[in-house]
Amino acid sequence: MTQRPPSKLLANISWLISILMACVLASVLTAAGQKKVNPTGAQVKAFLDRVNAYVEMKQKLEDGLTPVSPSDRTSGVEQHRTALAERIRAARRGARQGDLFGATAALFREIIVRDSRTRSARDTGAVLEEVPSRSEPAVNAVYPEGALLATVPPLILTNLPPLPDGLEYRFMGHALILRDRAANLVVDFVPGAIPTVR
Amino acid sequence: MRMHRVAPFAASMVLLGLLCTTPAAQAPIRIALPNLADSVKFVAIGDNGTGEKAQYEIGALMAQARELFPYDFVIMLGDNMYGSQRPSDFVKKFEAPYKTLLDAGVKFYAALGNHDKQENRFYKPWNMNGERYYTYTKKNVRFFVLDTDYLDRKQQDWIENELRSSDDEWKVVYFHHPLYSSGGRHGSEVDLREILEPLFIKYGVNAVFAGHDHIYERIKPQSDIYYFVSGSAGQLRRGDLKRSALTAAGYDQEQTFMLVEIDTDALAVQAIAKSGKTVDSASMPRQKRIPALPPISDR
Repeated sequence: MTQRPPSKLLANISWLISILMACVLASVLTAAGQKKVNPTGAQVKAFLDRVNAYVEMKQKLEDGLTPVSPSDRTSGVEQHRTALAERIRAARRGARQGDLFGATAALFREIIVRDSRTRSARDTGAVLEEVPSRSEPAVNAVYPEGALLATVPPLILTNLPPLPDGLEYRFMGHALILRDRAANLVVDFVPGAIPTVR
Repeated sequence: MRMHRVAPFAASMVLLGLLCTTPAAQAPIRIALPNLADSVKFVAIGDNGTGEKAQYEIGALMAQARELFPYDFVIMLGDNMYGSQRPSDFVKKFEAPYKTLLDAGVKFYAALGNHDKQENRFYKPWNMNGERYYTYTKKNVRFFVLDTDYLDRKQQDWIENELRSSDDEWKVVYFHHPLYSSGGRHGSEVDLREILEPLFIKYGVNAVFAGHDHIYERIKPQSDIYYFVSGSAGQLRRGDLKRSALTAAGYDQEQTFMLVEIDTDALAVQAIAKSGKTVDSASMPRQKRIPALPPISDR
């Protein structure tokens, strides 16, 4: 029986150990590279990224339109609104409900439902009293002319992710809508966000 | 000061309006305020923009009052316009009823209400400069105007910064929804109160004006701040004042407007009804307070 020289055996063992250590090191480094995320935070960030992309697109669409400035007549504002709305509609042809809210819709519903639990039925009724209830929201639809912009309770607003200038949350029917102020358009909405008052 | 020009057909409208609406039994206005030479004098109106007879009558009375009490600006507490808000409506519901005042160079500073279109902030005669919330100063008084229809965090940060950085002798805040009201229809806006009142206390706000409930009410001082509801300069909800522990004085039988005077030491108010009679007058001393400390992060 022949025996391997001890130096060769040792070399093989050290080779194996090196491979093992490299594997361990690699797995440790891989784990460190995979940042653990807060799923809610990630959803809200993704929502705000989409919102910011919308605002960026809108700013480009405003190029060439006469900017609105204070005037003795508001006809300039109306012209700007109509022209901007047309451009946004054209640019977002095919946009669908959920394009911006995406997976955060459930979070928005949760925030509003939680708020409603802190209010009496009378208070909730008062909140919803001026909400336009006859119109169903639709993406790219005009917020109904003549309908009140029902006040969104400030304690709800405080809990919703802050929006960039020019966009706002409003209620419409039982939906929470994202409204473009200058264009008076519904940008996206969360259906069934507003609980029914019993 | 630039005189405001009103479209020619508006002039005929206002004449027609005044001829048709001058009430038969209107008491002559008597001024119940100190009427000091150097004081800040103004009028407060809310929920006025109906374009109806009562608004014109109040507009005529405001002009009459100015002959005795020479104010040079008007604060508008929201719902400056109801219903249609096309360019022609600005004539019918604003320029015509207040033509005499506009022609005399009286300035109007508006807050937005839930019936106002947001884009009306670009209407030059309302002096909002395109902003939903803004601030301006008249002598020793700083005015802070809010859009309580949409009080988001950005606006909350704004008002806190503005109040903190103001060392004006008087701080007056006005907006549409009342933090305190005994109006049966709406009443106190508790959400708003939860957010705004701590700031008002912390930064030494002296007086707060609001509308929304279509009544007049002077509230008993709350945390040493004077609150008023003046929401019946066009609209009226007769019988809606449900007198409560909050009520210092109030009136809900006719449309009203307020004359306000602020000098160094006191704020005086007078509420005048459509019939010309004074339905409330009071003088309140400037609050003696310890200046608010800056926030810890600023020290």
